[in-house]
Amino acid sequence: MVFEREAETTLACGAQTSFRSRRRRTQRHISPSVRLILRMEYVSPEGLRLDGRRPMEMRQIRAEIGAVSKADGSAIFEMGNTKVIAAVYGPREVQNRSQISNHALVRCEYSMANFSTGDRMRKSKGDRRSTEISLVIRQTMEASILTHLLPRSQIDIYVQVLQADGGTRSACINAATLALADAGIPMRDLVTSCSAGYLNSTSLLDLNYVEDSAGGPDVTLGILPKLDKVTLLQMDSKLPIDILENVMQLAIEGCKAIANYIREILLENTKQLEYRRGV
Amino acid sequence: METKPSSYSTNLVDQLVCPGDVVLDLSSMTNQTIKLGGGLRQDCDSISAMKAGRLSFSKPNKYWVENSQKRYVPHAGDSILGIVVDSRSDNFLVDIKGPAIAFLPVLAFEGGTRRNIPRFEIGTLLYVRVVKANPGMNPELSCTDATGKAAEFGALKDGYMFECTTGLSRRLLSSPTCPVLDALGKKISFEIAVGLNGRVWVNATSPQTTIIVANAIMNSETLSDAQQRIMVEKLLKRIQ
Amino acid sequence: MVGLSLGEKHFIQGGIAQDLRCDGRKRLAYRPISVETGVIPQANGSARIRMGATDVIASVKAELGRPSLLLPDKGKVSIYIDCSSTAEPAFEGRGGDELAAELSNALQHCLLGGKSGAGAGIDLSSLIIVEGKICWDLYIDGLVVSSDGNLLDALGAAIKAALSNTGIPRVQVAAGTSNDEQPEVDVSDEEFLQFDTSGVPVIVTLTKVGRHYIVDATSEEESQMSSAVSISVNRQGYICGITKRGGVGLDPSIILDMISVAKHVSEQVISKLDSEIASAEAEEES
Repeated sequence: MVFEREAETTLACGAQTSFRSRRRRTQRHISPSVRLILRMEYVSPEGLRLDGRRPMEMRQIRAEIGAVSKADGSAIFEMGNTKVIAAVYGPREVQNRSQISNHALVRCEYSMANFSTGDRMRKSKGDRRSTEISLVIRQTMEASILTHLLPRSQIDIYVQVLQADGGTRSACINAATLALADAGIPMRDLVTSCSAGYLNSTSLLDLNYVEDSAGGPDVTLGILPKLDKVTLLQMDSKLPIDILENVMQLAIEGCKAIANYIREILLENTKQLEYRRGV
Repeated sequence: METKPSSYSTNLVDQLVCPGDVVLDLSSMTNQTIKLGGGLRQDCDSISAMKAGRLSFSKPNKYWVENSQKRYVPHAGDSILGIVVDSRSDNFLVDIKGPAIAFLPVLAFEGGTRRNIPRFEIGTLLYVRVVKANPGMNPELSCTDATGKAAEFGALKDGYMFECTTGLSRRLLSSPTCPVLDALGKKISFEIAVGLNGRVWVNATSPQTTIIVANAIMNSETLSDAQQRIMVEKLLKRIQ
Repeated sequence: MVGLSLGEKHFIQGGIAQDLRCDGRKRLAYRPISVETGVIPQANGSARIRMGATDVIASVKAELGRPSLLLPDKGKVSIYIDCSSTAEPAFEGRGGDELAAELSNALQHCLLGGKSGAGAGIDLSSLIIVEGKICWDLYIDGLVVSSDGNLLDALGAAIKAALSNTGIPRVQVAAGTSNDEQPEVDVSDEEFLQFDTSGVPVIVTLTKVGRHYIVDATSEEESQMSSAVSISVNRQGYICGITKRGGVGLDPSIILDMISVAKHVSEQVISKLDSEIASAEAEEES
């Protein structure tokens, strides 16, 4: 990977901020003047990002199965400061009789907690952004669920963002995968997702909020790791094709790393449930 | 034909698998006739898992994924606990914790005729058998065994019902007797009905015993055999 | 949840009459409470409370604002509760709004006192920076992640834990501004003032099932309740607020009896909660 840098703006300001945000410190309270300077410098001359990561480094990920004991399947997924809970209810009786079909009906609702963003705001459910993300998550999960095995039933996926720091879409998909697997819903493969971007002529893996809002390209990718297929691809902004290939490759690597982690968590969980068998 | 799974396939038997894992490759197997149980699917020559669990194998050629989940997927022949949610002229509608409401025909009782249709209030707990579980239609239940006798099936009065995972209910029904039930049964007497759909009904002479049994079973989910016995002893000490 | 059968209803009611509940508790025993603080680093303070299968998160955010004209010497606190659809499919869309509004209102009654702010569990005058000009606005947000009864007590406990986890930045007011202008302030990044939570009450909900009442009801038991009274009691043993829910009427003498029971139970809850919060804080620091 070549670390080329454009205009020489050597302001190493904030480059070494520790990646774990300190308690009681809102990361996003960066005054407009500081943000202006930062716009030029997302990768320091030493090749470090604003939160101290290397360009191809992912944030710390953590997952936990069974967070909501009432649900049929649930999981918490964290990517750095982004934290989401997913709960799955079903397969259960279709609630709206007119929607019965010979495939399982998959539904998804995405909501953000009032305290999930740096600036507190009261969010109403069902705004355009959350409807769009719900749709993206639903379509991505539908690609993996074997819906024809569960005719005349309904599967509800609820994702709740507790903290948003970039990459919520990916985190939600990863949490939903774990929750579906926990609920024992038949799936073709696990789905994992990761984002990548391109700033300061460098491909960056797993953008955080500050990098995400820099206005550069942001590629969100979802794959079926075992089948090696892409199920979700979203990108805004413009990018030359050869660089896109590069960025996509990076995102795929990220997805695979997450898939390995999710697999481990899932196996660990199964092992715990099976502990009693003494095998 | 002699069944001899190829070396490739035996590798994964008794191993934990995840959705998407390819567990068998038919092209590399000498005997290609195998029976697939729950949690596995065939895609051309490869057999892959679709649930997380432990891959199990039973001679001669059965493979399945042993998993534990909260929802139930009906299979014909399973004994389960259902709750009456509505009644129609020819069917009772029963919730079985599954993907669809199940039908219990009003005549599916021992000696059932149009004259002696039983009356069940909404909320009644029933011990029933799944008769039909075809995709695309609601599962059908029956309150008789295969020979038409009432056997143990029917409404469960009094007692207390709690929900657990399907894995736990399978374990409670497995033989030799599950250690938690074995340890409890030696000390106290109680009635229990375990449904494969992850519902367990317990009844005893005193509510105290019922609660002890229910809590012991719920706690046993993630404990090993020896731990289960210790836990039961601890609980029993508290009532003596 | 599907309905309970007649036998089970009898069992739950009979058990409560015999002072033995389905999970082996006595009538006036709480489920084990687990507290985790600092779960939302972006907030000024936050806490997650788990009681059995009930799971709630509360966060506190402080923002600079102007005090209202009627109460120039007091800051403002607002409480919003949100019921996540993860807790119950019925909360999907706008389904949880009604319960959320009921919980928000009950918590405001119990913690904030009347319109004048008198009798509030949270000391509003400690939030003032310059009288009539600048004060702190505290936004308390609660989120119900998983619900298995007794949400109000859990939310009350979570808010108490979140407040004791809250650090409010020290503010320097630039001297020498005239009376009409808005004074300039300098919010410190380093220094935080611990919020005084000694006066924040706990909420004890007594659920009446049959002739008896129980604390910390699960959703199974709540389905059998005739009425419920939520009483908030502070450390000194003063009643800070009462809310009655449920349709059936109560004899005034029973209400008085319930209050004295709640007062007794609250002492245990406060000490339990205090020790849990302290150990959660200690864990977070390490």
